[in-house]
Amino acid sequence: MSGRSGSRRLGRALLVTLILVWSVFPIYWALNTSFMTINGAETIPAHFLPSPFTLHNYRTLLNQGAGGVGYQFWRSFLNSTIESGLATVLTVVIALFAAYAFARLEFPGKRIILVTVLAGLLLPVYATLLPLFRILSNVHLINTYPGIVLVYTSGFLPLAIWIMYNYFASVPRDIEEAAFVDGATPVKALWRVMIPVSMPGIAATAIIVFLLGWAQFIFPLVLSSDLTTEPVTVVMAALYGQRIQPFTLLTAMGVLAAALPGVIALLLNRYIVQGIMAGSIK
Amino acid sequence: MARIRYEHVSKRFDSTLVVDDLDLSIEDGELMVLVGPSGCGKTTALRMLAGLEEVSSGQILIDDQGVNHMEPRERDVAMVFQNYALYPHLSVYKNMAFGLRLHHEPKEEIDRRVREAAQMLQLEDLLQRKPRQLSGGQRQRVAMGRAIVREPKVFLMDEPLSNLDAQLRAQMRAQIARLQRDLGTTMLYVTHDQVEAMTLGHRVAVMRLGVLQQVAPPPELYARPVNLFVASFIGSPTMNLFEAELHRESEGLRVSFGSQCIKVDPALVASRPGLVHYGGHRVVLGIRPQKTADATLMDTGDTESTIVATVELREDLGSEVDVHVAIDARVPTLEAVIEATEAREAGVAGRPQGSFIARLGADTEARVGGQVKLWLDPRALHFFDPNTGMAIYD
Repeated sequence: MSGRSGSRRLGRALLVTLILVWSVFPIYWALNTSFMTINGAETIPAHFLPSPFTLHNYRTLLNQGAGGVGYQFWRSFLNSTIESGLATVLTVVIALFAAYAFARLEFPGKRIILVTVLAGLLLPVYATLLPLFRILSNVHLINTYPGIVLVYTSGFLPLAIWIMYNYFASVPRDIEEAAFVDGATPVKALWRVMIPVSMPGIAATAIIVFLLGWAQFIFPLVLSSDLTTEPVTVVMAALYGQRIQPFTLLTAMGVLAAALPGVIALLLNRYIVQGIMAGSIK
Repeated sequence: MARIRYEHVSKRFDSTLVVDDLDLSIEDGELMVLVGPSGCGKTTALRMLAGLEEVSSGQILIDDQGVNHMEPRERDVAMVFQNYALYPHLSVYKNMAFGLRLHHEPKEEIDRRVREAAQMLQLEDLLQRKPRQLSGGQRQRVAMGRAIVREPKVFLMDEPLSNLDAQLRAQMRAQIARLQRDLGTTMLYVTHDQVEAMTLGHRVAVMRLGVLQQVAPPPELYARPVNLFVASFIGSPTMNLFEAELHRESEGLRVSFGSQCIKVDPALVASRPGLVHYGGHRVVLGIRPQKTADATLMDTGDTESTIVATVELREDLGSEVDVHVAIDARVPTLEAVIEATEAREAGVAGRPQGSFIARLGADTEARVGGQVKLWLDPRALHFFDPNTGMAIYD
């Protein structure tokens, strides 16, 4: 190895480390803080490992007393799960058929429709916030699951269609044609061949959409008004704003709230990469 | 089993005519090969029969029934794709069973047929594997198996061997021929490889630029090509072609090319009466490399069929020797010849202007730089009209 490529490798390693520290440190710090009492956490110089170590914050969250902070947390956690989950299912199903049509069928206006749908990706989403609020309140869907799920779905669809469209387009046409010659109707070919073959792409889309849903803040802040639909992001922000609960408790909440998407991303990141890279590798 | 007819079938993609007025019949149990350079429309013709491509005009019939408006699944055909198109998520067994399941065959019947085909193709040990765990040759066999178990009316083969290496290709070629013979199923086989076409086909249909050129059994295609394209596309090494002139003389016709002049056998003239009208006219002369010999090793006194030329290259093939000699005659520059030659690897491998290839016995003593006396079989000369490129027969 030449000295030049050696120093280049060193530079790259430093850069990667820097990015890693930048993105992982806040998570580490939240984790660290969540295992301390407020006194321990406010000590200067700061402890880089929890000292004294305590599970007090997590115990408090497990206490489900009505109206307590534990109840608020778990209720909003449930809301987040339901809203992101339903939005994921709905988005994936619609995107599946739309992407298949764009990738495989010929129909008039196909290009224009596809470009229009994808242009949705370029729209500043907050521009749609107030109109959506007006629409939802007119049809009495403010602070309801269907209202939030529909808004999420409409927002996520362009991205989902785009990812799946690329994936479908990368599946060789002759696999489907083989199914047609073997006796499949278009619907059977889609169901028995195209969908199973595209499973990595579909999984990637589902994961990405779920993670996006979980991270939503401004939309539910506006479209929800109480714990019937408020997701965990909104409830945590509210608790923080009230300045009643110790911030160590809030970091414990943050850790738990981040745990689900974190585990999903860690376990399934293979699919995420595969789905996004579709077409570039054979 | 089935009979297939293309009746004036054309296919247009936007404004380009890919298949132009194709008229072709394939008999029950026949193995018909469609051959031609890439872009000649052979695959499109096959895909129209499969129902994967719509027919722009004309009609395709299977057993006298028009199928133009039938979906692929209604045609009872099975197809082997160039890239095999195996279902990557299914095991070998399920790949083969897929079509039968769609047709709701009973489970025992599916199992029997899959195992039978697996045995025929030596796939028994691979039934539980996924396609990605198989070699190219094994995938090819699975694709064949998937077609066989269907017991269809017609097999459609779209360049099924082009992704295999040369040795495997020869093996599979023999296996396909055997399978087709044993099953007796009508087969339409598309390839760009003339060797594959000649060795496999009961009859071979040669296409160029969407137009069918000639349909004939391989020996006839080789011996009586209808035009310059077929003449230069079929046979290896490619036919030697030169601009030439026919002369009428008292004892018959003679043909001169460059500074060479040989006689035309009267029997040949008798079988090609059209030649008489070309006396004193320009023609294109064709000589197969195999229809030559080293005249010094022959005891014929036939001096009127020999030429003397300088050896430029000698290629020993073991049993035979290819000798390239310099001839000072011009090579015809018709589009058809150029295209056929370019489509052929043998042509690309280098036939310089005015070079003549003679395939001689291994005992020839021709040496590079020396002179060789070549006998050109006077009964095996080919003549073409220099303007139309059509062979001169009647």
